[in-house]
Amino acid sequence: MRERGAHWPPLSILRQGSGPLKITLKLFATLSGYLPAQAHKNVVEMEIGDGATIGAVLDSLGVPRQQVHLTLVDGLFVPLGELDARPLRPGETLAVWPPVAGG
Amino acid sequence: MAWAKRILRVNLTEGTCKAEPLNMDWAMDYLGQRGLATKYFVEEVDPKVDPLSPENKLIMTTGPLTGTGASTAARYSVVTKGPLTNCIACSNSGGYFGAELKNAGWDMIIFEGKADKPVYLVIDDDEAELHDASEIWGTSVWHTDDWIKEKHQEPQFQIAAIGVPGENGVLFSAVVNNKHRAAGRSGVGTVMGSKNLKAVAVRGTKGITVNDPEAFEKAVNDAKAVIAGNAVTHEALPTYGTQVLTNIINELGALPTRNAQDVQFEKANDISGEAMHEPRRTDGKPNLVRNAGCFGCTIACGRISQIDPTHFSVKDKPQYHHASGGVEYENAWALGADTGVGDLEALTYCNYRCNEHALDPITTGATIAAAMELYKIGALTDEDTGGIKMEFGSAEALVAAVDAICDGTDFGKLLGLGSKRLCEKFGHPDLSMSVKGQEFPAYDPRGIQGMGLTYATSNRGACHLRSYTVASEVLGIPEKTDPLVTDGKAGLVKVFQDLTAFVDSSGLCIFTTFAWSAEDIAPQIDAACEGDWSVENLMKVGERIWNLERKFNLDAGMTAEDDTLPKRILKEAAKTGPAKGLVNGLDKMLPEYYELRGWTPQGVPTEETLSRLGLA
Repeated sequence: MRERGAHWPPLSILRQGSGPLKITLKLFATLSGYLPAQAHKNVVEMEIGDGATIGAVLDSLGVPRQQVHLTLVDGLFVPLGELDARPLRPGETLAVWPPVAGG
Repeated sequence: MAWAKRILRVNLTEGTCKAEPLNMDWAMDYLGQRGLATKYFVEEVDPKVDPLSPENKLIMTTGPLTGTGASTAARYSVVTKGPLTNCIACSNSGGYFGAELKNAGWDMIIFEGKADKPVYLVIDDDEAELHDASEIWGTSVWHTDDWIKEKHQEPQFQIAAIGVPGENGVLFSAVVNNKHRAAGRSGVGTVMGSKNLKAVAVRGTKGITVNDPEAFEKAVNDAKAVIAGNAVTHEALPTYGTQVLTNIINELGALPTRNAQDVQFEKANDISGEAMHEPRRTDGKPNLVRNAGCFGCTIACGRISQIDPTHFSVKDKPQYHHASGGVEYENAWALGADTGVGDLEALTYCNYRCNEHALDPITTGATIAAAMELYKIGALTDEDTGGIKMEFGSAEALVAAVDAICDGTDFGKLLGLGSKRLCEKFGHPDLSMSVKGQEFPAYDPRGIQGMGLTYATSNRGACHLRSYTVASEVLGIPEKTDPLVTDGKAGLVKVFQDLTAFVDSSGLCIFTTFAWSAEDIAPQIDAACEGDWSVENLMKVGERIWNLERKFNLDAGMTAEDDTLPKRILKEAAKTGPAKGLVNGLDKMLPEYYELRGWTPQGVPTEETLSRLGLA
């Protein structure tokens, strides 16, 4: 697990503050260490550049792709193969987990 | 081999303990544990038996791999007719009790009749003897465990016991071993209490032989390498336990909240696996102390927690100021999201009490949630609750209600009926989130459609551990399916049911299947046991077990009308999340499921199906 905030400020694709392309990012379990320091618990609101994909957002935070297992946008599953093709839209919630299970 | 080939028959009425050879013809058809004990049970017990009468029997049973060197070979099951459901009951537990029983040289114990006064059974390898339990009757599992070890000066006893609720007829009493591992569901502990049987203590030193030791060692090592190389079983489950699911299922809009009025809980993160790692504001320590494993387990998903000693639930109760079994996902959901309580320390206290007094935490939480809704609409009053303000979200009410069940107050006795009987008694049967009398667990079937069929068709009443389609619908194991659609779910449920039935009959833990396929399991069983234990045959064994259980339930009086879901799940659409606007499409899945099973449209196995499975 990486120390929280190690990649903040992120690359230019991400901008902190309010604006038309604000999304909510949630990183859980061992990925929570990649959240920006401003995150509260597992959640942070952030601005992203126009057309930024899920993959671009995760790369900007330094989240290793091999640790990305389950990705939901507004609770809907996004296959791993589509992370670089799926742009995020204003107001969407991106939630990401490493390999997990339960029961 | 692998089987001890010997069963212990304990007649509680007569006070006798007798050894019998295991029926190996049946073992070849039903493998062990869940399957084999169910075969014994249906051969010996009238399906219409009153579950709490002396004529009901209770079987504690191991599988052929229990106690061997296979990973997770800890499991044992308790098989009986459940008082909560009036169906076949089979509850499965880990810890160290099952392996010890097997090492004492017993495949299973069949309890019959009823003792005229409280007793406990002591097994020391070949010796088995009933003892007077009058000094521990009326005390907790924890006290009973300590008392028996001290009395017999045997700290290495592995002990399974019931608490006070099991003695008093609370219909969802569990059998708890090693103080916090539970054969949890359907009221198997209530049956034990009805027989005046307080506990079973075992010491086993005989060892276990397998059919082909070299092949077994190779198969076991290969399989352990799969677990060690799998990110779920090697990293995720040891680190976060099952509790990592809380945020996932909440995001999916499938976390039943406030008695399933909602499908998302605003405080989900506060009771999650992540929260258990967070330092508390009060003492700077996290709720989670460490993870823990059962006998032989190379996953170790168990949670060991310690409650904040300044928390209101334990402030003046030093007996709870120690580390013990913490909340797992189902428990955190039932005691938390379902009651609207986002106080992790309160949930941990209630979990301790469920362990201390052997209660099923799923039904405990779900029944309290139903009581909260009855209270909200005015059907349940302060007079009924003994003054407890049963409001959703109240940690104080939750703690008081769990204490009431453990202490056997008048309100505790009402809650002890379970949600179905409680809601019927107060005129609102639709507020019970149960199937066949048993409350469904932590997956809302509006957001995970396959779980609706799972609950509706489970042979022990609503349950996630009969076909965990969440693995596919949410986690993508073995392959991803869409949780919001009904297409393909009938086949998925059938495969999961058959697979789970044979795994539950082996002595292995179902959690291995996050990493193992049937192809990883079969070589271990095949090397340990004589006979043909190919994947194909094991799946047929699973199907045979499923149909045997079904047949028992039908003979007990169940019909296709019982294969349904609570009205709320079928009629009231989810209000938020991805499933917003959806109800469960059970009507689209059930006919296809019956057909795939080889059952009539009325849910009855055809003669052809029974004949094919050797059940005719």
